Amino acid sequence: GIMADDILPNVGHVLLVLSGKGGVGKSTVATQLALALVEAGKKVGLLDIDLCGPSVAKMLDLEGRDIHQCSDGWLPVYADPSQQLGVMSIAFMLSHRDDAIVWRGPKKNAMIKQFLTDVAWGELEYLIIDTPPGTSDEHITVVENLQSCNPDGAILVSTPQVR
Amino acid sequence: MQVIVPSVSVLDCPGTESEDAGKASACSGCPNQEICASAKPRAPDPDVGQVRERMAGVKHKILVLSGKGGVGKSTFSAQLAYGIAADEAKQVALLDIDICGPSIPRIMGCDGEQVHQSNSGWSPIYVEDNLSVMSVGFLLGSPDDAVIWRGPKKNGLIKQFLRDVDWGDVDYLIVDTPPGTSDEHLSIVQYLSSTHVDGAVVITTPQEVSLLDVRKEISFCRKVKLPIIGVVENMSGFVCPKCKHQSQIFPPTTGGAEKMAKDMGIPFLGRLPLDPRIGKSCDEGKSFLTEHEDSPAAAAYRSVINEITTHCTEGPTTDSQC
Repeated sequence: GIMADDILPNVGHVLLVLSGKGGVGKSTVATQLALALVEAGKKVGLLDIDLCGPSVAKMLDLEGRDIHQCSDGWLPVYADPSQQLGVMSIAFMLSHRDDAIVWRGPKKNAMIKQFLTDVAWGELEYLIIDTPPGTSDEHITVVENLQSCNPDGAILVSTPQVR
Repeated sequence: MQVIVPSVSVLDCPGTESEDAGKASACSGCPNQEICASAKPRAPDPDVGQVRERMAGVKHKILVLSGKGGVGKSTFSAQLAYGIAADEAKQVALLDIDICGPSIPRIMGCDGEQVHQSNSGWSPIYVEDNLSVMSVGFLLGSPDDAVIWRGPKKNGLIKQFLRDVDWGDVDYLIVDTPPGTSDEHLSIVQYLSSTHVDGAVVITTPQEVSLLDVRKEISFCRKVKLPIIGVVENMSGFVCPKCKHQSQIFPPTTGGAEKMAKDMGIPFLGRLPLDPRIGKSCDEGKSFLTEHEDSPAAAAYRSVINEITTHCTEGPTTDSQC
């Protein structure tokens, strides 16, 4: 199993952005929240675990960037020259932006675990995790693996109508 | 010294029951690889034959897909079902395979119904004499119960929906799907692979963030050789009921669905406007097409539905690269 020390050792606050429903604005809220915290002078990480429909890279105009690796692990893609906002997403790992990630649960779970253990975030005051719609593999995996680092909690996004 | 992390292999899991399980190039890196590779060869899945038998009485099958969430797949699936069932001579079935977020029972005005079992299988819920519905929503104790299942369990239920539900003889089976390109989508395509599927209707909204995910869905369809009936642009334009001014709530900054369809060589089926009464009808479990049949949105729906049924009965009306 993964040792507790391996998961996000230098992160102050972990926030998950969730919604059962798709298209309510999770990625939008996660991205704007990250940008607002950076504006307030915080060092922030933004992790997109939506493997099928990763929107965060597009929203921060980071499409086409590569992930660089160093001795400490994978470096997040920085959205700004002063490296206040580090971003990780499967979008940076696609050869073409139209490529579909057609993976079943186990392979998705392995990728999410890698995002949590192999990324060298450095010291962060906030890590915001954007999730896909639903209550399935991605959600179970990320919550199970975050148990050791005491996430602050979840922000639930909804729109007004019943469904 | 910095090295660039290589691109992911976008090859799919062959399926845990496939002969290639654990051995395909897509398997490297999957934590289950050893388990799959060491499993004894399996006999052909008898359920596939049973699904084929059940589906023998189903003339046309349409999957409603979108890479993106919240674009209106369930809303569209329901109106498509209502629209086709308006012809009382047609028998229509609506299957909701969104296990985590089943919207169909509410939209069809039948939430709270229970599924009954008989000798001939599970009985779908009839909302009209010629319109039946099945969803995991009917199997939950309360509407707030969350179905928090991993892939394999979801796949099992989808298989049951296809194998055990007594649909009877049906002219059109419409399958509403969750967003994404994962277990549910692979499963429905695999389980229906021994039957004829007319194709997929892909729903999007006009903005680029939506199209980004929808292009991936189209890649998925091509990868699994699922024909694409066409793309529908939903929430396209809002006409204020008071001042009649038209605005684009989701501006098509990169040309919208019509341009995307043209670039990808697939038919564009039409635009559906954002009419607040559509969402209201869905929340109330009523057919928008019946409640507001004279509205521009209902006319737009009927036009798109006509394109789809024409494709099913007469073949593709335009060339499409699939």
